[in-house]
Amino acid sequence: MRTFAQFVVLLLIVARGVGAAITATPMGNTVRLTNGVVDLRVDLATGALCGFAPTGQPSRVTHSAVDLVVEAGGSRFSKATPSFEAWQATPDGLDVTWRAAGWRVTEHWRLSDGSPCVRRSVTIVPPDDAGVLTQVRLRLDGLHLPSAADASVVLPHSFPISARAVADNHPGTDRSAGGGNTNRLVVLRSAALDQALVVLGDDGDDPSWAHVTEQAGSIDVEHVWNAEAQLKGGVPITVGTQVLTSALASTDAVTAASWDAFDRLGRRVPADRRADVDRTVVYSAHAGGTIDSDWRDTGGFGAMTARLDRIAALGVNTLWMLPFWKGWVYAPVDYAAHDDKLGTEAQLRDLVATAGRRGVRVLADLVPHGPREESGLLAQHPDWVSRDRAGQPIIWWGCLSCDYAHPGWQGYMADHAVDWMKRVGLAGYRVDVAGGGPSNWRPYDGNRPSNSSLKGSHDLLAAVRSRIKRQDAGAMLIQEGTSPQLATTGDLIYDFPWAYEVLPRVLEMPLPEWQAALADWLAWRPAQYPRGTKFMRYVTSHDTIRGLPRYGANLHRGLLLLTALVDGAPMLYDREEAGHEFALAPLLRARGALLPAAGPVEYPLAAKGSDLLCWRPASGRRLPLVAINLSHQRQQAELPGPVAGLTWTRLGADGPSVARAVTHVELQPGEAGILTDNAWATPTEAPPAPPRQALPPAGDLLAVKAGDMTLRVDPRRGGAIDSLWLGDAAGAVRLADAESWREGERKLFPGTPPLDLTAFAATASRAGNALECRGVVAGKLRVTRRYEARDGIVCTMTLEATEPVQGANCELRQVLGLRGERWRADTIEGTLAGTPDPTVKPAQPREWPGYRYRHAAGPLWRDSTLPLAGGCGVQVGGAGLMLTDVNSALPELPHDILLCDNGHGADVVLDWFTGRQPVTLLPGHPITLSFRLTTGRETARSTRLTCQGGNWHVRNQHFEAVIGRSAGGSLRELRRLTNGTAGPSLVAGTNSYTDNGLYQTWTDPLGQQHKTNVGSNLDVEPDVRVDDRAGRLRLTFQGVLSGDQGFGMSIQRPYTWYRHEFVVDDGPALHMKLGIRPRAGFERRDVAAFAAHTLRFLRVTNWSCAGTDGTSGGAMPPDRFERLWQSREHGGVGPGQYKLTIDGRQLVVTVRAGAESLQNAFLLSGIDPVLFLAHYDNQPVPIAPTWREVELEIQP
Amino acid sequence: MKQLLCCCLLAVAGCQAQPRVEGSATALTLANAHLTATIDLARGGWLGRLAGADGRVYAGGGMVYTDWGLFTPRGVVSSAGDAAPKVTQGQDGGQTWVRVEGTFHADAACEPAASSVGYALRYSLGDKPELAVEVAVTPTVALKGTPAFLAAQTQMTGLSEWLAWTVEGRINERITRDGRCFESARTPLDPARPELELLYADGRRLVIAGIGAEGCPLQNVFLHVGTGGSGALFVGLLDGESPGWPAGQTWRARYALRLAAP
Repeated sequence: MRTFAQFVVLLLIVARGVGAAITATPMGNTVRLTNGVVDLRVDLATGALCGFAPTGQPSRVTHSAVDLVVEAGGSRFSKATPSFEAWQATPDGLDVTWRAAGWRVTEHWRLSDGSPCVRRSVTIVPPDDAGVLTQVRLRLDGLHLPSAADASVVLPHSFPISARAVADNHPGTDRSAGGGNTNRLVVLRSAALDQALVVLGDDGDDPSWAHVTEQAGSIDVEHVWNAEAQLKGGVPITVGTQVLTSALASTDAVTAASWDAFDRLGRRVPADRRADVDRTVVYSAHAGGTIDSDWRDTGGFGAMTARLDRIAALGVNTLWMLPFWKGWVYAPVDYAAHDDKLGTEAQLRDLVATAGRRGVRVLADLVPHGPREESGLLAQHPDWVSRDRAGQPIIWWGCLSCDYAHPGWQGYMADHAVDWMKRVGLAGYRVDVAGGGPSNWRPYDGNRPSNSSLKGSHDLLAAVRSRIKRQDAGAMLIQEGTSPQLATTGDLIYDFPWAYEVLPRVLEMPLPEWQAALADWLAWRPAQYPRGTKFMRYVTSHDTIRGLPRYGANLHRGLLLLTALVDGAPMLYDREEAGHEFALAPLLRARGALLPAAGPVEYPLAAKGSDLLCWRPASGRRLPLVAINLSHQRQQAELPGPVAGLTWTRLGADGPSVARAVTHVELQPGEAGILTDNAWATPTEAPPAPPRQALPPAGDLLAVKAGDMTLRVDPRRGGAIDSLWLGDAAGAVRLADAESWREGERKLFPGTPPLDLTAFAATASRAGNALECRGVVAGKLRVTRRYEARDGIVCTMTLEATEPVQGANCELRQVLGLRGERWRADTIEGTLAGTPDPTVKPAQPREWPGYRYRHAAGPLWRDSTLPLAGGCGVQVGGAGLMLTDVNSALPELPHDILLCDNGHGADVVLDWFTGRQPVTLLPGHPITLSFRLTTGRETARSTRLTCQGGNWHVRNQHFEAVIGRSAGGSLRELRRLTNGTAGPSLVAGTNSYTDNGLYQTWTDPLGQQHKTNVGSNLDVEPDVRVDDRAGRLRLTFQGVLSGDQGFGMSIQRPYTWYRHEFVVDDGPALHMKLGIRPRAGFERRDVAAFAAHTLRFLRVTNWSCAGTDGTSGGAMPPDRFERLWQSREHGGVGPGQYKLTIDGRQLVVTVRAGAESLQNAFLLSGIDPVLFLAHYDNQPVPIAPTWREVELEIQP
Repeated sequence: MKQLLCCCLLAVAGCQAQPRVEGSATALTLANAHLTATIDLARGGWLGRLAGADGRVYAGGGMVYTDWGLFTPRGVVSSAGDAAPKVTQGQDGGQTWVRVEGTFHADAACEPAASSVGYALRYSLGDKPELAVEVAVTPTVALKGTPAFLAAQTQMTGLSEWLAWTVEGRINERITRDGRCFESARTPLDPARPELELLYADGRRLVIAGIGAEGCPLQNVFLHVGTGGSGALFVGLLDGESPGWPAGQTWRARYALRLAAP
C-alpha cells in the first residue's frame, strides 16, 4: 500500500554514518535509488527494475523478474502479471513489494557507500499451504553496454573460459553460467569503452546455479536457488543474494569489483587463517595403503611413521591422512575410535609427534556426512539424521545422511574434531563433502530442508573452526569443495576443476590453445572467490585415477611442476612422486621462498614461437620467470629482457641443473625452467659410489666378463645368474643378486608344483665369448641358458617342453634383484627415476579387487602400460646397469616388464608369460627369451612415433595421427599432410562403448538411476604394444571398458574387453582393427544390447555410404541428429564404404574385414557426424564372450 | 509314495549290468562299475556322496540355494531343508536316472514364502564314470530383487589344484589361498568347452564337464576353496545383477561329474 509520504517525501538516509548518501526518490512512475555512484530505477507499476547504470549514464538493464517453482505446480509467476503494492526506503536501500498469483513478494535492493555494487534478495510469502517450494529465480533482462560494438560475455566458471561476442548472439540460446562448485559469475564487457557489467550469485543458504539467455544485442541473466521448503500460508521465506555491479573492463578491475561484492556480502576469508598458508605443501595418504589396493598394500601407522623421512624430504609440510576412524574409510562406524587394523592409538600419537619433529603437521579427515547405520546414531539422535519426503532416514555415501544444519550435529562434529586433536596431537582437518548434504525434510526448528546443504555446511564448519582454533591457534581446515562460501571457513579450499577439467583437457586440445586457455583461466580464477582465497590443487587424489597412467611420464611430471608453481597449495597423493622426485623435491622444498606473494601474474606466452608455457609476476623484479615444456618435443625459447647475472634452473627427471642464465634456453619434454636472481637448487650430482670390495672367490660359479661387468652364474642352480659386479678383481660393486625364475600360480603342467627354473644342476660349456648351461627341470622342460659378451651381456633362455602343452595360461616370472642408489626407466613417454624406499614392502603383483584399476599400484613402472624406449635398471655412483632389448621368440605372446622397489634398488621383473594368454609349447619347438645387460643407455624405439604424455603421434608422408594411449587407443586426431605441413584434424575421437543391454542401470548416492555407459576412451591403462619393423608401425591397445559412475572413472565389471590396433606404413591409409569381447553371462539367452565402435568426424559437408544394394548420399545436415543411412536397411552389412567430404576433399572409410560381426553400421548426422560400427544394435541374440573384430582403412 | 519308490528300486536292483539304483527312505544310491552316487533324501535330494569304484570320495554335500536378493530378510533359502522330496526314476536309452522334486525351505520366515520356489534334481548315469546332473528351479511367484545370488553348490575335500577351460585358454592353478579361486565372471569359460577339472592331493581328478544353463543366466561358475583342500563348486545362475524371474519360468543348470584317472 502506497503511503502519502512515499509519494511526496524525499527520504534521505545517511548510511552507517560514513557520510555518503543513499537515497530513494520517486520520479514519475519510477522510484530512483542511488548512492551517487550508481542509479537504480524501479517501475512503480510492476515493481520491476527498469534501470541500472553508473550515475549519469544510460541504463544497462531493461527489466527484472522473479519466479518461483513449486513442486507439481511448476512456475508460479510465468503467466501472472505482477501488481505493485509498495516501496519502502531502508537505511541502505529499498524494499519493493508486489503481488502476483496471490503471492506477496518483496525485493530487497541494497547499496553501499561509494560502491557500484547492488545486492538483491527476495522475500516471498505464499498465500496458503501451497505445496513444496523447489526454486526461486531472480532474473535480470536486457543487460547491455550502451554503444559498445565490441561487447562480449565472459562466463569464467568453465574451462576453457567462455567469451563470446554479443554481436554473435542467437536470441533464445541458453548457456550455463555455473552452479554447484562455482560462483555463477557473468561479465559483460567492452574493451573499447573500458566498461564492464558484473553479475554474480552468492551461495546464500541454498544450492544455486545460473544461466544466460542470449538476446539481440543483450543478455538475460538468471540466478536460481534450489530453495526447498514446505510452504505455509503467510510464512515468509527469504532467498538470495544476486549482485549487480559495474567495473572497468580489465580482468583485474572486474576482480576488484567482484571482491568488493564479496566483502559487502560478508564473504571474507577467515581472519585467523594461517599466515603461511601459501607455503603449504600437502601429502595425502591412508595409513592402510592406496585406494588402488583397496587400502591394504602398506602397513598402518607404524609403516606411515617410517615413511615420514621421505615425505618430509620431498618438501611436504602437511600430511593429510585419509580417514582412520573405525569403519571403512569414508564410512565411519565410530568417530570416537580408530580402525585398530592400522595400529594402536599410541602408534598414531607417535606418528603425529614424529611428523612434527620433521616439520610436518598432520591433518585427519573429518567426515561430517555421517556414519554408517551400525553406529547406532539413528537411535541415539534421530533428529540429527536427514529424512526424505516420506520421513525415512536418508542413506548417502553408504551412511546415514546427517543434517549439517542441525546444531546438535554441528556440535558433535566440533567435539569430535577437538577430541582427536587432544588425543593424538592433530593439527587440523581436511573436511570431506564440505558443501553439505541432501535436503532434510524433517529440518531443525526454523530451517528449511535445503539448509542442510550450504547453510548447514557453513555453520558446521564455522563451529568446527572456532573450536579447533581454540585448541590450537595454528590449526587448519581444508575444505573439500569449490564453492566460494567454503573459503570463509577454510584455510584452503579445493580447486576441483584443476584436476577434473583443466588438466585433463591438455590431452584433448592443441597445446598452444590449452596453454592460452590455462592462462585465461588462472587470470579469471580470483574474480570468482572472496579476496585472498587460497586453493589446494592436485593432479591426483584418492578420488581420481592416477596421473601417471593418464598423462604418461613426461606430461605427468610437467603437470606436477605446474601445480607446484602456480599459487595456492600443491598436493601429492600417495606415492605420486615416484619417478619424479628429483624434479619435485627441490622445488617443493624451495617453493615458499621462491614464489612471490600472490599478485597479478603476466602470462606472456611469448617464448618466440615455441610451445613453452611461461609466466612471471606482472610487476616488481618480474621474477621468477617460469617456463614449462608440456609438449612432446624439445623446445627452444628466447627469454624476455636482460638475463645477465640471473640464474636459470632446469628441473627434469634427473633433477635440477643450475646455470648462469642465457637468452636462448632449451627445455626437454616435462621439464620446467625457472629464472631467478639467485641459485636456489643444488645441481643433481651422481650419488656417491658405494665402497668397492674385492670380488669374493668364485667357487663353483662361472663368470662372463664384458667390459667392467662381471656376471657370475651358478651351474648348481641351472646356470642362473648369481650376481653381477661392476669393476675388476681389485675392487668391484655388486649390482645384481641371484635371480629367481619360476612359474606363478598359473602353471603349464597340471599336477606338478610350480616349476622352479633354477632347480636343477646344469651342464656348462663355453664357446668363444659365450657360456651355455643346459639341463631339464622336473622332467618337463629342457632349459638352456646362454650368456654372451656382446655390447654388454646378452642373456638368452631357451625352453622346450618334453610333453606337449596346448593353450595353457601360465605365469613365468624372472626376477633380477638390482642394487643401486637410484632406479630408472626410460619409457617412450619419458624417463621415470627415483630412489629406493627402504620402508617399502615387496610389491604385490596380483590384481586387487579395486574398481579403478586393473593393474596394482605396487610396481614403480610396467612396460605393458608405458613401454620402454631404452632400458630400465639402476644407477650407482654415476654408472648404471640397464636392462634392454627384452625379446620373446613368440611375438603373439606379449611379455611384461615391471620395476619394483626392493628397498635397496629395484627388482626387474620379467613376466615372460603373464597368465593372461594361452601358451603352446611342443617338443622339438623351443622358444627363446632374451635381454641384454648394459652399462650404457639407449633410446628411440620407433622413428615414426613420438609421445606427448598419453598422446601418441604417428606420422608418415601422407598423414599424422594422434592416438590417445590413456584414452584406450582413441584416434583423437587425423590430419592430412601437405608438403610436410599438417592441416586441421579430420576426426575428433573414436570409442568402443556400450550403453544398453550388457550392464544394468546404476544408482547414484541420491538414489537416481542412470544408464551404464562404459567405453574404451575412459580406460587410462590399456595394455599397449609397439611393434615397429619392416616399415610398418603397429600399435595395439587392449583394455576393459570403463565409465564414470559418479565417483570418477572406474572399470566396469564383469569386464568387457576392447582391442584397438593401428597400422601405419608408407601408404596413404591408416589401417585400424577394432574389437570387443563382451562380458560373460549372456551366452544362453537372447539379449538386446548396443555395443559399437564410433568414429567422429569434423567439418563434413557431404556424405555417401555404399552398401550391398548401392550407394546413398547427400549433404550433411548439421542441425539434427538422425541415422542418415543404416546398413541393415540397405542389404545388410557388407564390406561397406563411407565417403565424407571434409574441407573439399573426400575422406574414405572402407570396411575391409569383419563386417559379418556387425549387426548394423550407420552414419549419425550432426555438426560432428559419427560413424557407428555396431556389433550389437538391439537385435536380441545370445552374446558370447568371444572377440568380435572389424578391420577398417581410413584414407584421409 | 515311499512304497511306490521301493517297488521301483527293487525292480531295477536285480540288473547288475545296468547302472543300478538302490536305497532307503533317506538315501538312494545310483551306481555303475565306476562310481557310486548317493542321493541324500533327508537333505533335499542333493548329491550326498560321489565315490569311485575304490570307495574314495570325490564330492558330496551341498544344495541349490539363494542367500541374498530374492527373499527378504536376507538368509539362506535352499533345497536342503526339504526332508521328504518326491522321487522318481527310470531309464532312458543306456541311462538310468533319478529325479527328485521338492520346494525350498528357509531357516526363518521370509517374503515371499520359501515354499513358493520348487526345484527338481535329475541325476543320470550310463556305463561311463560320469554322472550327469540337472538342477531346475521354478518359482510360483515372480521373484525380483537385484543384486541377487542363486547357485547350485557341491562340496569337495582333498583338493590341491584346479583347471579351467576358458576363453583365454586353459588355466591351471594350485590351491594356495582361501576364497574364490576361479570365477567365470572374471574369466569366462570357453563356450566350446565349458569345463573345469579338480585335482585331488592323491592324484585323482574330477572333471565338471558341459557346464551350462537353459532359460536363465549363468552369471558365475566359481570354485571356493580353503588351503586345507576343502572346497565347493558353485554353478551360479545369479551372482550380481538379476534380470527378474517371472512366475512359472524354469531355470535349469546342467553339468556332468566325470571321474578321471590320474
